[in-house]
Amino acid sequence: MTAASAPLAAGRAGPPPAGAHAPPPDEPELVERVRRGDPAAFDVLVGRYMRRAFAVAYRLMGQKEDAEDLVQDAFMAVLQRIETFQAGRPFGPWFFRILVNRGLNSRKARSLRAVDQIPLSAASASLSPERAAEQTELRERLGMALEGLPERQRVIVNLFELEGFDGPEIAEILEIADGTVRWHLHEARKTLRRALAPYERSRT
Amino acid sequence: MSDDFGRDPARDGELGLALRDVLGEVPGDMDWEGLRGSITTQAELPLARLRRGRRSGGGWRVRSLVPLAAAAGIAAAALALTVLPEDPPPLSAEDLQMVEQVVDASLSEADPLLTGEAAREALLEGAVGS
Repeated sequence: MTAASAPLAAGRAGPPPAGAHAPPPDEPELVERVRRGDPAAFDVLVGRYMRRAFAVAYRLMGQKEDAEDLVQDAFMAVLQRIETFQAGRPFGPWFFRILVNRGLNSRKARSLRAVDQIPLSAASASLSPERAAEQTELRERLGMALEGLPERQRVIVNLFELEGFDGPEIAEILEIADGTVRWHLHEARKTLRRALAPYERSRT
Repeated sequence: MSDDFGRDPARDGELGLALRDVLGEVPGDMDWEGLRGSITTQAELPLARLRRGRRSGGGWRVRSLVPLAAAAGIAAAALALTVLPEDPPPLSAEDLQMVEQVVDASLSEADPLLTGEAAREALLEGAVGS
């Protein structure tokens, strides 16, 4: 398993993944049952989307408790808005749109930037002092570069590089064109690569 | 790292690793069943509202149709009274006789016109007059 697919693996531990382009065949029926207030159907949807939702929420919020709150909040918002959900449309992008929008609003409300809350990885604990210092510097540089990204680019790079969403899925979640997603991704990567350049040079 | 501003960009594994290193992994010690239970418990009330909404939604629709149906009935009755003619009363024997006389007289006057005799007489009168 690649590092990039790790969060998806968590999401796939249970039922099929919650992708935008291949929704499970029973999903329209489940959504219709939820619309009628069926707790069992809602529980299936929660089980299906919870893990991936948590991963996305964690990337947005930077803290486990905040991510849990966001996931709960997003599912409650689903119930509030289920009457407006267009039958026949895939549930996943609609749900993640709610999750991401609420997460961004929540961050704005608290003037919180995800990178402010990023816990430092424990990976450097076993490194040599020089290597640990290099790792710390890299983290700081990359953290600052991430913090400096426009919010949309930060969300897109997180969803694409870390959470395994593809371009069309992100476009649907953020309600923007595919090309716009690619452009933001390109710009974000360019910025982040610049931050990583000294680190890459030191390794060659 | 490859350039990515094309169609369907591939994931940048190296960048992904670096980001993961900075951001840390998503916590793996999650109590998923606890979270799921918390969500479904919190959802009980909204789900009950949805069920009630469905039930009362249908009744509300039917109830809202009652005054509409009543209004439509009244309008239809009023229209029938004003537009449709009442049945005429039956004719008496005298009236019938009078009608027949009028019809006979009319037919006798119309006969020259129907046979063409009237036109001939008109031509003759015109010739005499000239």
